[in-house]
Amino acid sequence: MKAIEDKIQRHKQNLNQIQAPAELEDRLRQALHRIPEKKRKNNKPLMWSISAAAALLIIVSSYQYPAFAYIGGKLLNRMELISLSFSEVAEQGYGQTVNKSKSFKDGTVITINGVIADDNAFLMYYTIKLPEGLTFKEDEFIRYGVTKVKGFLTNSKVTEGGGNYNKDKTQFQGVYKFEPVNPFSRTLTANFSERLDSGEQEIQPVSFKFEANKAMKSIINEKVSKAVPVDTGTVHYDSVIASPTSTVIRGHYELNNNGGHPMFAGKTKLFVNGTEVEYFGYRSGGVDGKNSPTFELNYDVLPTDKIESLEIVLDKFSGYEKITEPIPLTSPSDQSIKINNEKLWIRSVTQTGSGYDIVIARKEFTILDTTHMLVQAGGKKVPIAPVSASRPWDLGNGNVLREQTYSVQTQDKPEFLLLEGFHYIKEYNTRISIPIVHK
Amino acid sequence: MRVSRLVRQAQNGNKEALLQLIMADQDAYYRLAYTYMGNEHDAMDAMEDMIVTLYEKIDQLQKREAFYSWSKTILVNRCRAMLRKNGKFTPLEDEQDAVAYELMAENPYLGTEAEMDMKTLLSHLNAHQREAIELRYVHDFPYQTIADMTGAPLGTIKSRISQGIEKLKVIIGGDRYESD
Repeated sequence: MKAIEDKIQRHKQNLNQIQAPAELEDRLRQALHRIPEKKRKNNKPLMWSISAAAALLIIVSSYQYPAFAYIGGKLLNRMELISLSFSEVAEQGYGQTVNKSKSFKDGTVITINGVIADDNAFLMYYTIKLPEGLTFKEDEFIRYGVTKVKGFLTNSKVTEGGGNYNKDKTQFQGVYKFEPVNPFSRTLTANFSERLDSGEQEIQPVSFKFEANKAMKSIINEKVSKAVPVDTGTVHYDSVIASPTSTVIRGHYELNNNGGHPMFAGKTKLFVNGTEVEYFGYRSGGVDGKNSPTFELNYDVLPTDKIESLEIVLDKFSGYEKITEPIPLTSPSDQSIKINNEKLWIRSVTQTGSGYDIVIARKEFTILDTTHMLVQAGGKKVPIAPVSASRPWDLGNGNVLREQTYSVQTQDKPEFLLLEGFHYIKEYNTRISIPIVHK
Repeated sequence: MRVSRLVRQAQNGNKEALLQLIMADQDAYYRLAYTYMGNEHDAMDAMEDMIVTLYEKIDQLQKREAFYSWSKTILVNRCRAMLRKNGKFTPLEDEQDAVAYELMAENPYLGTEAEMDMKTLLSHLNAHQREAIELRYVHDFPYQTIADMTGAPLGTIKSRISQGIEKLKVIIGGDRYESD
């Protein structure tokens, strides 16, 4: 059974490397766009309960963690936080010691060693100890897991995790990162699960007293109101929270794309006292109170708590370039056509039963605006639409382009392609300074 | 908390909220569709059909927290219907080769040896057993969800999985293998 499970797990890991294609979001949005809008229901009692919940949330979230200010000295960075053991981080004055254990039926012991709570996250340091005489096989730790921490007004999902085996592979020491927990929680519970050979899961809840006064205060936690204009609207930065475990910038978009997220999130840099803070990723969120789509940018812990300046640089972001010139379709070839600063390739124009198929190639991140795409044929303007997903076109010299087949229904030979414009990744390099409120 | 809020917005006709829900777990949906369809093109088509169905039927979803298992059930049904229409009567039977091939062809990082192994192994199972084992162990669905997805009774799903595992055990030499 072990051998089979290993194989299946490896198979799963292989499959898990497959990621949804970048154009998926676009495809799904277009599919939704094609179907008629539903009438919105106006549900009065429901609206009430929503605003009641919202009011409660505002009260709760404006509550500050009590005490435990970070006392000077060096802040541990993200790598240190996840690679050190809890006793090592505790020596630096971080977190709350827990030391609560629970056994699975097979004798495996789970221990929560300690936790670190702050405004951005909840870190849980834990140990899995196998029964006497057993050792972990490669990747076997994935049989164990936690998905949530629960407590009063707390239902925090796991966002990251990692860890290591000890030398003799009898133990696994890991750190889970969850969404922040509510400071009003007194008891927190994590349900640890173990995947059994039978395919069932055994769940063991581990509960502990949460001491909110050991939670760690943020270095910066402030609302900001800064906007950066971009080709398709504005990017708004709404808050910066630099806590002892991470730095998070939240904001929203106001773009002229029907309340959607941008085509490319690009790259946003953060500088503290002139030094760049390492960027760990972008997460798109739901819509805010005004129906604007939100985002979250994650960075490493700030290198110091003595902040003199804080700057956000919108380095790269979605750009949009209008095209005014018609693109000739009369001599398709593998030679590029220069349009503004980008290139397009009209590879072929082929007659079909109902009209013409046109194969257009572009660079991977040059996305044609297909909303009002037309072809001029026989003096008339006829709409043209993609009939295939895009596929790679390997030039064999290290460059891989994307090509796609478009179809137009006309008996006249297409003369020009009329494109409104295209989206691409543009370098903005716009720098904005965030005023620091010293508390 | 956030999921049920988005589901409520989607139930009120907000398309972007529905899209958000799907995008938040896009890789899992895509892998699920990919396991059935075996190529990017068909997997994306299945997901397009799914999101249209979700938008039309989301009013019928009573338990908002159940959005993910409900929507994935619709995706699985869509994939099965597409395969049936293409004349591929039993879902994973003919597709398995395609999956293994795609895995190797498209992604050089994938452990081809492990994949070959699994492909050979799974080819000894019947399509139902294979489907149930993949849904259980690769996509991590609970037994009940698999039963809902495939329209088979819970007991049948459990026995498909255990019989499949038993069969694999025999093939790779069961306990002997372990003590080697």
